[in-house]
Amino acid sequence: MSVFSSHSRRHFLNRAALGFGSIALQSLLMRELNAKPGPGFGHYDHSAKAKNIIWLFMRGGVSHMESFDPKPALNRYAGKTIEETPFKEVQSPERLKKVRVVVVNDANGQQRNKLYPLQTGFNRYGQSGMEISDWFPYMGSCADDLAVVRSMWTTDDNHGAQVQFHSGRHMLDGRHPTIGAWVTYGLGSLNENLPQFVTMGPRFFDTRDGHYLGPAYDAVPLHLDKEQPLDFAQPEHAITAKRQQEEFALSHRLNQLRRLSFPSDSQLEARIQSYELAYRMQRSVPDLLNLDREPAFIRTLYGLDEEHTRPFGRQLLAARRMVERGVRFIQIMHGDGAAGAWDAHSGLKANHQKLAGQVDQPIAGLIQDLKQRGLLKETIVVFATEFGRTPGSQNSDGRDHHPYGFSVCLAGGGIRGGTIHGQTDEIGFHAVEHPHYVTDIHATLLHQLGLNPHRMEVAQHKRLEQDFGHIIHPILS
Amino acid sequence: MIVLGLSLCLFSARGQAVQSYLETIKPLLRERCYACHGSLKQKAGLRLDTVELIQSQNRDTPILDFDHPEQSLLLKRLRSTDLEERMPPEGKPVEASILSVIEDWIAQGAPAPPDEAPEASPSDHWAFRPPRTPDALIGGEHPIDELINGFHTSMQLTPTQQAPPLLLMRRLYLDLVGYLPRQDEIQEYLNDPSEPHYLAVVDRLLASPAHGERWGRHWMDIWRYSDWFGLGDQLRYSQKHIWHWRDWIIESLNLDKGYDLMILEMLAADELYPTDEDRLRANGFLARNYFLFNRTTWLDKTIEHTSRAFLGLTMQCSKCHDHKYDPITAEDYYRFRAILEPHQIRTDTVSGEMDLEKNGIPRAFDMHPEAKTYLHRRGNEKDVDTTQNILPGPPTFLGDIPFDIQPVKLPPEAVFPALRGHVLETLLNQAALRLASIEQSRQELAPESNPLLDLEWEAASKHGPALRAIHAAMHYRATQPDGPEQGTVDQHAAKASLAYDIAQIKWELATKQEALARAEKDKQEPLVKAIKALEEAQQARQLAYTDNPHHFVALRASIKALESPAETATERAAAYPRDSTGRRTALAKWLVHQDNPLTARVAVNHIWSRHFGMPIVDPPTDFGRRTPAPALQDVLDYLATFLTQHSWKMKPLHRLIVTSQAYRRSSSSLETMEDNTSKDPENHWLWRQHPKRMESQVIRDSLLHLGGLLDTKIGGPSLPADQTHARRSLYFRHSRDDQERFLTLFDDASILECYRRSESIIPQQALALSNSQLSMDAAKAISKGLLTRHDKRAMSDAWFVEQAFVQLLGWSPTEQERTLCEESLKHWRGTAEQEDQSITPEASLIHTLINHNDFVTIR
Repeated sequence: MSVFSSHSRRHFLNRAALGFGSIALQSLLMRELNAKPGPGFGHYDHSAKAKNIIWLFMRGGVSHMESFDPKPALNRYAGKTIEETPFKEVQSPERLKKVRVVVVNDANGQQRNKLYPLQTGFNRYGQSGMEISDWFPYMGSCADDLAVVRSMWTTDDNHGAQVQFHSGRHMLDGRHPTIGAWVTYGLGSLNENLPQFVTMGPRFFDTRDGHYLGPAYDAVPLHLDKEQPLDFAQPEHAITAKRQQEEFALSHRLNQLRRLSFPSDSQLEARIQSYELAYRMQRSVPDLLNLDREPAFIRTLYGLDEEHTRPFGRQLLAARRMVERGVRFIQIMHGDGAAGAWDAHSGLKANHQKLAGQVDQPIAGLIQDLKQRGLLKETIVVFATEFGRTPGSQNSDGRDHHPYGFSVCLAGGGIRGGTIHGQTDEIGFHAVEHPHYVTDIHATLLHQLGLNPHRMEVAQHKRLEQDFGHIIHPILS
Repeated sequence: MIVLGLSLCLFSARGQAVQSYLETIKPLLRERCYACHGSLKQKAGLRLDTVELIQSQNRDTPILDFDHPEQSLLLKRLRSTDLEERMPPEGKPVEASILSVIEDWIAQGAPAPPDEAPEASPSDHWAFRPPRTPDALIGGEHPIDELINGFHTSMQLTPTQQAPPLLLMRRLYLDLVGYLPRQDEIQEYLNDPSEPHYLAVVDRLLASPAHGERWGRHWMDIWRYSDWFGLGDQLRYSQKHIWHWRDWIIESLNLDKGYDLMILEMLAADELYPTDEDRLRANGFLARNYFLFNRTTWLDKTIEHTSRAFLGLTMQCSKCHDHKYDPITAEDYYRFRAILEPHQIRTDTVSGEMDLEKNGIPRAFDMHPEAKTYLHRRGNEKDVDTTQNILPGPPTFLGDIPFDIQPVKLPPEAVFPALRGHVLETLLNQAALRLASIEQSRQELAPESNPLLDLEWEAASKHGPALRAIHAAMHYRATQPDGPEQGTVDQHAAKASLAYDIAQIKWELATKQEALARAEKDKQEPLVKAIKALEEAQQARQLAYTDNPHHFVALRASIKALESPAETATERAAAYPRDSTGRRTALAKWLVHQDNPLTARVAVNHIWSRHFGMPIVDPPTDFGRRTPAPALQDVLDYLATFLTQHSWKMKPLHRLIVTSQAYRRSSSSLETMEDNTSKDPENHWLWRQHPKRMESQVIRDSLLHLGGLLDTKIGGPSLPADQTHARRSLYFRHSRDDQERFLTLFDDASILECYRRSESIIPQQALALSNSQLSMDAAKAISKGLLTRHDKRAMSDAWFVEQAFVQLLGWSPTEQERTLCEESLKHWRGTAEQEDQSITPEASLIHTLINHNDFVTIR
């Protein structure tokens, strides 16, 4: 798709009656009407390696040392304070200063000095021999598709870091568009019947995405567990499908007649189109979410047979169906509660074992399923969390928030599988080799989608260099 | 590129150099250098905004060295790899290709374009000078039209005709009261659309209480109204009962209180009207910015949104460094912060309710007059410059406007909220009620069988006297500090309060003992414990009195919002200061001072923006140097002066605006499209009205009003956002966690900032209008209303279609539209028996029109 200049797009809109072919109708209209077409819109700087993103976000903070970044030193020095180990300089004030505290004097978000041994074992997987914890055996079986970045860092020591991971900005700096919004902004939709940016699962600190880009870039929430998965997607009152269709047809005809009096009214044109999209969405969503049509072995693959894996598995299976239908960005949040379920300040072993059990099989199932359908090539699956957890213990059997070093993994869409990139120090405290701020993940995704992060900027909202991030080239094939 | 190519052929090498200066070098300097080396600032004494100024510098190394261009100081600094040396110090280095253009230009002798003018002085910026008085208006014409028509004449624009009466009424209703008119409400005007009738409608709507609700919501957008939210029960943002501020906004607008007075009350009612509970509600403006976790963030938000909303200045830029475009220094930022530094938030009880969870007025007060303000280096709150205590003041560049701080001595009722008359009254009432209910129980039961009741009566009867005595002692202390009778009144209070407390404990003890006597063995333990605790409490209470026979627990009737999660209960209970610094009063008076060039302009721009769908100054929050003088500056200035001359009252201004022809024009560009759209495609000069989309609240309120379903009760606590009700939409709880799902889809106000609403068009809006219970209920009610109102004999499908169009869309259907709709009605009537019996054909037609583009459009 080539770039439309603002004028030619408007012109195009004015003339277009019906039928946009495969053009990004919703986004096209939105950009036009919000009068904020940015330089990023539809602009491919190079050929894209990926088309879709499935963004899995573990809310609360997954322990990096007990998932993708094993630290045997913790076992060796278990029970010792950091001061007593050879690693005491990790706590030098200079190295701790990048954190910006929101909740002063909070019981959480503190340094924890007494090293806590690993609560699970590790195994090597695949040809790459990647080490993955025993809590994630299914993901282990996909090791050769995974790239793990072990050197992430962020600056918020509390769960506002969830906002930060999505927007690149600390929560005290206001709300900024999220990565999903930027992707939506940068690319058109691949589908005329569905929204291009969907979110499932619990959100808390921020329920919007577009912010200054406008609500057209907010994710459309889908609730798989509710009778109405999409707000107002089905009539709340008794009406037959036939009557509804007739009403729709009449208002459509009337709107078209109105266009004779207001030939240059792009809003009117857009509204006509939005009604068509709505009508199609209404029909497409039930089909999209009808997982019963999936064969038994697929349902098993995603863990739909087991109670503990079913909720997340259903969301991931729905995500795959969305990818097939061209939804661009599917955001799935895992872990209930305000802080997020992974927030294991105590009882970490039981907590992580249980939660990993809920997500591990479905994620591996998703990767395998995408692969067998040839979709993994063009879909990036991201497994992320707002921060890691402290090497030291909290409340005797838990770990506290840890923004200085943690892990994220990615698969598909031109990501080089079997890659481990970056590292933390011996006790998993600081990201010491190739440290990456959270926006580096954004930059990498945008790059794979064929977008230049630096073009993601609109008038009056200057972005900082840090907002754009840096592409993590070593994890790309 | 073609233009450049031509010019290359046309000019000499020198000409080319001038060209590259203008096209490449000067834009670079403007973008990256002027902020520090221009009219705003001259770091190192250097200005770069004209070639002459660049050359006028005498340095050891010439800034421009024509013989050895690469030796020029300008280039050396731009090329330096030493980050301490390199210019500009922030951002990426200048690209090599541009550096070579500069070098070539210097080699050519750095030629300047003729008559190159330096940047204007910052204080010459249009918005920093007083509003212009337009050349004497000739009169005879509406002043707004006289000003705008002048532009039309000179630009040869042909303005559109006045909008048809029905559309005009629709527009006026939506603008002034926020919902669509029913036919009967505007019939008089439609029968005779004369000027007097138009004016009568305008005046009627401005006088309607619904006007305050409509415009109240606008100002709630601008002032960031949000109900409280946090985590579970923990309040983190805003305050409980903040709706009192919303009600104050509505009432103030309906009373046509001046905007100046509104600012004074919002920022400083606690200093100016410390005992006036109605006005104290205005402090909600400050209370809304409350943030539990971080005082700096809390104050930053207050500063940012006070300056943007009232001054149209982006002060937040200068939190970290001097402003790049406006003459606001980092120190100015912290001077502004110092104004707010002492203030905290508390909630005082209201008459009749002592439970602050249930009701109360969140308000501001100065808790820490001694608090110092320090500059945060580069905006880093961990890097504080404690060498200099920054004193309160407004931005220095507006320093000619008086900013006069007068400390305020607060009356006792403000310092001790329990001394307010209604507190004792409420408490005594509660005590009397309890006594009365015991009396009643006594009469109903035989007295001798109820020793417990006797004990309770004993206690209750002592409560009133104790309250009176405590109140008297507090009152004495507050009104006669160190008065001679203090010891006596304190003793009296201590004694009365002891008597009550002991009687109360005795009664509770007896109650438990009686329960113990009746309890089965396994239920006894907790009772035994409770009895023991009460016995200890009784002893302790007695001891406390013996230790200090002057001691009693003072009445409070107020609670301070936690200053941070770390604040202890004792710190939180500290007495309120008897004085207020007067800083916020000084700020408010400075804002509304007649010499302040910004406040009135910013206000009228907010108002204009909502009448015309487009502000005169865009963005409405930046009147700084990045925003050039607007096309309609004369109109803006005229309105600003008009506002201040009318005691800052908004209703006269609304009236002035909606009675102009500019306001009443058709928004259709059909008739004059060719001509005007080429000259003024964006309609900056208002040759027509801008069409707008209804805001979320207006859509819902209109549906309810047209259906006759709207509950017009005004004010009161916010209503849950997840329940249906028929009140106006601004009464829903509105916070991060409370967003009404229908309103949300139509670009509801963001609580973070909303100086203008977005007008998105997304498919979920279509789903909401076609599938919501709300729209179907409204469709049925509207259809029923139309059918009952009509004359039975005249009833026909043609009549109904006509009425439906007029009512919902504001125009009569064309022949084609009428035919289509009649056919549908006929069709639905034929099928109605088999299906959809609950939806009449007429209701279906109304429902269809609710989903017509022109229902949500304000033409």
